[in-house]
Amino acid sequence: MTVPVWGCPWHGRVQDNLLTLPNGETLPWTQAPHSSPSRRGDTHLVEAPNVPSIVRTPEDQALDAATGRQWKTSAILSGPDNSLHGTSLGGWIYCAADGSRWLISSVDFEGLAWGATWDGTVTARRFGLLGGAADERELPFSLEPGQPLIAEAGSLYVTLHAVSPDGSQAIMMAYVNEGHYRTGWGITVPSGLQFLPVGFYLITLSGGADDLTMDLSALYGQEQTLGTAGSEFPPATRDQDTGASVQVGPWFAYYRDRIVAAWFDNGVPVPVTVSMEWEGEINNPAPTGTSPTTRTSTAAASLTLSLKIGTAVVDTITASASQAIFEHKQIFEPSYHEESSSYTVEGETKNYGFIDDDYGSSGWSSTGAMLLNSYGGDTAQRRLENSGWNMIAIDDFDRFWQCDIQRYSNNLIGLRIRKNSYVDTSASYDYRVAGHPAGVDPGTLTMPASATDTRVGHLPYGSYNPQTGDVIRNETTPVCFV
Amino acid sequence: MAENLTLQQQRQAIREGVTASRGTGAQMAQRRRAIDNAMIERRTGKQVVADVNSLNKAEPRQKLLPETTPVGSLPPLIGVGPWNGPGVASPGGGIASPLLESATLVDGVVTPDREYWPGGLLSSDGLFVLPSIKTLNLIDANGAEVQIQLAAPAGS
Repeated sequence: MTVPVWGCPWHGRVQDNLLTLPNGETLPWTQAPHSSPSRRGDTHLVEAPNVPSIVRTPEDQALDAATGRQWKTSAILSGPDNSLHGTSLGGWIYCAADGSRWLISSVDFEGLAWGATWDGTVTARRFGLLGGAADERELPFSLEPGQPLIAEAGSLYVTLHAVSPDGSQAIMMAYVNEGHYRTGWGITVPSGLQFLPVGFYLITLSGGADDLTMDLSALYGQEQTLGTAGSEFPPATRDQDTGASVQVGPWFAYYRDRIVAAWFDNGVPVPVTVSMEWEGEINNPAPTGTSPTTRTSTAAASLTLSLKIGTAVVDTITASASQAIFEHKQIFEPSYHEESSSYTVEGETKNYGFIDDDYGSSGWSSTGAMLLNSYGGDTAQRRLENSGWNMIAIDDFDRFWQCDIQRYSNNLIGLRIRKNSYVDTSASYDYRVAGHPAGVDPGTLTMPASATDTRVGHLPYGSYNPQTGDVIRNETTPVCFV
Repeated sequence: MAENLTLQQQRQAIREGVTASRGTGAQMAQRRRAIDNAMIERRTGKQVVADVNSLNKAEPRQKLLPETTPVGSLPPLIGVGPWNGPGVASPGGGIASPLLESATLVDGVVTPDREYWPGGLLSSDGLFVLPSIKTLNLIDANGAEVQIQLAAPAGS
């Protein structure tokens, strides 16, 4: 006789409060609510060490298949409340080496503030021993979190972000709400990243029933989480004879290694980063000649926006642009202005140009840095804003493209582009590949959108199954795996 | 055709017929007593009660619960079952039924003297444990200690 198998055999995709079983049948399954769509798809693999393999006879297997049962040696904490087999835990499970299991409460990390020492206790409760005596421990922590106040960032929150399979390590994410900025900037595109991280903290649990202990340390403090940023542009001077702005030379701007998520890879924390490299040349020389006076200005720019997991590139968006302006001015004659521009974003090129032989401006037109981006770097506040919303192609003629980080869940994240055309008032969302702890989901989707209502085509829901590797993305209703 | 009888013979025949129909004086007295008894039974209802009672089930007798020894202040003891003194030793020296589990009073609660495997029987995901008995301490009818040692369940 084989050892009887017992536990929860119900696993699969949960959506619209229904669990779909492998035999096609459904079970009612409650999904906990949350104001941020990406929390609805959160998953954490729970894999206790030394769990015996499951032995099923052919008859057992046939019965399992018919009834939609799946016996697994691991489990998933699902959704914003970290529910296990449909029951909310509000924390994660630490599987100690002595065989004891502990429920570690993540709600104990609420109420931590900017610019202060983080003192508190975390409650650990003995878990899973049926009929066993209650055993509750208070695990103290005290940490200098390295979180100087970012005054305009609003409230600081700390939440559970990732858990190692045996629960001995957990990553807490400190963040501010992206919506806080979007409102202030008047940005109406539905939030993609939703959380702007300002720090990640590592919890390490050790020991067991006799010697359970916890350590809390800074994994990535604010300084590291916000990444580095900088820029250098050639100096601009004014030509004394013509009053034209003169600026010649290369320039660059960047933000690098802005950490937007973190999770575990074989027990080692790995940051998920966004970097932007923006560079080019400006050539606005002094006008030459005397009545007529002429000037040819040129500019070139390139932009690379990349999403990485550790050193592995998940996705890269590239853009380039060039511009040339020729102007001819003569006393008592109308100015002549000839301009041509070319924008190439993700392989799509658009050329614009016009000639105006009655150009009214008395001043001189100049070229500048193209492919306007919302980069910033001189303060923590501006570095904080380097995550999420970016303009990657904006021109005066037709195109207004915005790039966003699409956070589907704690462990599924990608880039998306909202493409808006002025000329034909069309709009669409390009949902691109997305990264997760096991690699990259290659699926892409172009969703028709509305030029006036940015909510149309917004498909924020997705989830990653850490047991099977399955990915569901761009859903209109919350989805998760159990 | 009727036989020609004398007047005397005719009277004798009539007398014998009346006697036959009425019976003798003793028989008549017996009948009257039987009628009297029947009338008495009908009036008192004795037979009806007996008949009705014969249909009813007997009411269960109320039993008193056996007295139990108060717990809480006694020192640890062994055994909670009745002890009837040494039994008859079985010829083979084996275990005599019944087997009673030994127990200890812990904080006033009768607690079986068992040992459990530290791992128990794990759920398939390894997160839940059903306690699994390792050692079961029993006393047989002869007062001999009997110990059952169970194997560890898979995974414990």
